[in-house]
Amino acid sequence: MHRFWSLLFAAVNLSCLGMLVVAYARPELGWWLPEAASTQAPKIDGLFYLISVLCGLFFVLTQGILIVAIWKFPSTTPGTAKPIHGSLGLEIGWTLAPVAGLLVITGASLPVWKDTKYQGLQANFPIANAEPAPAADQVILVTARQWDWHLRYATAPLQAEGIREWAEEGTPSDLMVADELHVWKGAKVTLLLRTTDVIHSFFIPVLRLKQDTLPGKTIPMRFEASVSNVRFDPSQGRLVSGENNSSWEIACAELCGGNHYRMRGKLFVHPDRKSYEAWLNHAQRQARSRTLATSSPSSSMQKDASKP
Amino acid sequence: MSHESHPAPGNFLTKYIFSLDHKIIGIQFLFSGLIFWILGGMLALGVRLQLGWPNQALTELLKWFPFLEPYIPSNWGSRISPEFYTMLFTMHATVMIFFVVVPWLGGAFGNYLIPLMIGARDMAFPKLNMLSYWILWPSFLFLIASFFVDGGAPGSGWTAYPTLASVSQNPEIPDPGFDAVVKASAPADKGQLPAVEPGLWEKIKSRWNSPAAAQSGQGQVYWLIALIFSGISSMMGSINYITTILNCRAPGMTLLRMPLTVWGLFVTAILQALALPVLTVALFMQLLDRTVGTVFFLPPAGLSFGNWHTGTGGGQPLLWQHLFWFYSHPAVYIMILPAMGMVSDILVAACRKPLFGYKPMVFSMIGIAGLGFIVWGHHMFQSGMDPRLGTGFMVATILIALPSAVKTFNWLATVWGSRIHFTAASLNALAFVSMFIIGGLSGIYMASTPVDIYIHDTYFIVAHIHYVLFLSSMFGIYAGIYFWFPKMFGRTMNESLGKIHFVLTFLLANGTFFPMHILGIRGHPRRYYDPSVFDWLSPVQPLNQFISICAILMGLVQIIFLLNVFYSLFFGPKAGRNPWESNSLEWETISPPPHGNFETTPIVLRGPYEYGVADAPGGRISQTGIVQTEGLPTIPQGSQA
Repeated sequence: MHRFWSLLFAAVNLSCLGMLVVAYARPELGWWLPEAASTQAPKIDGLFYLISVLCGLFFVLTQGILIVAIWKFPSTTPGTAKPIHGSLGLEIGWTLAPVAGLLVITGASLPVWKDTKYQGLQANFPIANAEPAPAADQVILVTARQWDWHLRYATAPLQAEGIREWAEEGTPSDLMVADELHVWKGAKVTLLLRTTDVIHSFFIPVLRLKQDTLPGKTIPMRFEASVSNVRFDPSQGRLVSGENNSSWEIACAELCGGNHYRMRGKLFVHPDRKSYEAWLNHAQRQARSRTLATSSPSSSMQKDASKP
Repeated sequence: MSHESHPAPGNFLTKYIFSLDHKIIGIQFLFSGLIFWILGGMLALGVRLQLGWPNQALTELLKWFPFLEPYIPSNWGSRISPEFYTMLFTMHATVMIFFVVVPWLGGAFGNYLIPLMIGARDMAFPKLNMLSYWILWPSFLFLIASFFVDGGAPGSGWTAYPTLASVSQNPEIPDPGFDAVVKASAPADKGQLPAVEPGLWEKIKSRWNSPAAAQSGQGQVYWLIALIFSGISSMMGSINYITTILNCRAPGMTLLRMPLTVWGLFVTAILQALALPVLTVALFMQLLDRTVGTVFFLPPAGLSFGNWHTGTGGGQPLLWQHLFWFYSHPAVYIMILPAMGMVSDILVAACRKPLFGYKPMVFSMIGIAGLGFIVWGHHMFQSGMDPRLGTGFMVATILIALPSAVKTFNWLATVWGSRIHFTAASLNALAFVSMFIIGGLSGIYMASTPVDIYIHDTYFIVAHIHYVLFLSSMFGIYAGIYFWFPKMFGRTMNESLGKIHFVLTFLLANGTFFPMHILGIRGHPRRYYDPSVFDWLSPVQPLNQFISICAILMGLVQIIFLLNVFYSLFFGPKAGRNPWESNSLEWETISPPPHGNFETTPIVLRGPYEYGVADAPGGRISQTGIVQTEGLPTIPQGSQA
């Protein structure tokens, strides 16, 4: 009977590991990380794999010992167990070994975290040694509310020190769009995240980007897209698929009420600045010809973009 | 000594209801927890029903449970409404954490085992002990009542983050922006949901007095009051445990001769005594925000909900998260350390071999508890707090993996070379070790701040918490119930039923919770009513269905456990004093122990883990045992602390 218990523990642990392996080895199932479309994404994925390898080793070692012990040492084994109360050498050994692994993980995590979230701290946390806000090709104010995202695009270039003021005051030429984030590949984008009501969380899976919005605060978030998925065709006046024919989504990741699951936005990465500006001009023309309050200027394009 | 102050109870009321006896109080906690365990499980199955079959009409269910009609309304096509769904997961977590796992580990096992295992006649403060149970009843009543007040139980998550949970609006002020918002965010291009009927929204809105969270009007206030009472109960318990352990140990029971179960409960009590006041204060602050209009969690400029404005504030929503997690992260250890201790003792008794590394085990518990106070910020890496704080919290969080690894290795070394008796109790304890490894390892992903950017608030964290709280703590509780049931009720539980229950629960729990890691790796956010709204999540719907099927079957399997408990209570075979041939003090007395616990005060001569002693009868020496054997190291006589 003891062999059954050993096999049960082995079967459960192997199935768990197997499920992960299948999900990794067969990307067509769609059970693994989505595409990586920002410069930060491969670094975050790399860390994910590094932790997976180290944890995998620990998992196989410890579960293996347990399964073998259950197999080898049932109560029917002749004799009594040796009355060993401990071993200082072993304790030191299995304290130091994990320390090595944990140091590797910490060391690898620190620079990625710093790259992703430390830029422009000065603006948000006025502490003497904070780094200044870096230059941005694009500045977009994202205002979350129950239950959608409102994006305000700066259409004229902004100085780093003028960003705060722009976020408060705005300019008449700003473009307002609901639920659609347009950027171009390689652009250094600064998002300013706000909310009018409760905490939301701006989550773009393909960019590996997530940041809560906090009532009363404006939180900067920076990224650079590395793959484009659409292109604006001026002759047709609509978006057509780019180098990667994917539909990329924006989600809310912090519970914000009953319709939390409906805060769906879309991410459009243009191949270059030219395509982005063509879209921007088009959207501004549309916006001028409509009333902003009643329509989303690009809702017609959203349908077009979904056509291959 | 206080335990001299109460005589043996005379009548039914003083013996079983308003009892001062720690054993009866422990059993009261056990059975109250059992009722809430069933309720919490039902709520979880509601969540799984929705996620497995998001657009399924539940007309059959309504025929069986017509009282669900307001929540599965006909104009939603008899589906679970999104507001009801938020209530389901909010109350599932609240019930399981505050009314099941904490009362079971601290209340039931803490009360029952501490005096017996340290050789005391009762707790240091028996009246405080009774009060710690009865103060839970207002808590039970407010929690249950919250389901029936206008708007129902809260739907803002068990974390109750402001401003979702804390802003309330005068219900007479109309909210004209609401319908527009709902329509603007409707997933028109999917066409899977029925059009929202205006009549329904009017109906729902009329039940609300909060624009922020569905069903978080009065229900949220009741929730806050319930948690305040339950916190006071835990606080009374923890003060009592600390005092009892420090002052009431039997002669010779030095601190380092205490079984690990007592150590786990001792460290937990200290954690609770230090962390709970912070949560209680936070709960009072939110209660004041909701009732008398203070603005602790409302930012200076106020907030706009549609066309309605809250007025100016002056507080800070992030403050709640700091206060809440300052308690609720240590709470994770409050819900695992006693189970770690119990599992160690159960394993040793089943393995007939001394515990490997007693002192490292004790010190790693203390290490986990100490570090547990400086890692709360890892719940807030993406919250908008200064990212440099995140760096510090990351280092502390990664450090806490170390004592956990030390414990794991010591358990493995205990099992290695032993003589394992496979009982329902020891199998659950072995599963605890195996599953705690998975739960511990998945925690490292979240500790690494950059990886956390991606997996924060996804199903990866849901998988992690359930590997720690269900597959570890709950399996520890199963093991503890199978192991100490003979002592509590004088009868043993049915072993065959116990093993069947173990195998099925072990398989189905892994089937339920392991695929959640994959959902999380895909990026599936938690607390989603219907993930099929998103294209990138549509490939994982089969997994969601698989999880739901496993969860429902696992729910049914628990009936075996309940039957076993109640059958064995009355018809189980009589147990002697020491059915497991275990060494610690509780097995010295008769089962169930009489009032005052021991016939004569035990004198403790050694630690609880003297197994594998070749010359001693049964290969063991109990804590009070005097056995003259050659070659046995002489254990120095400890002084009473």
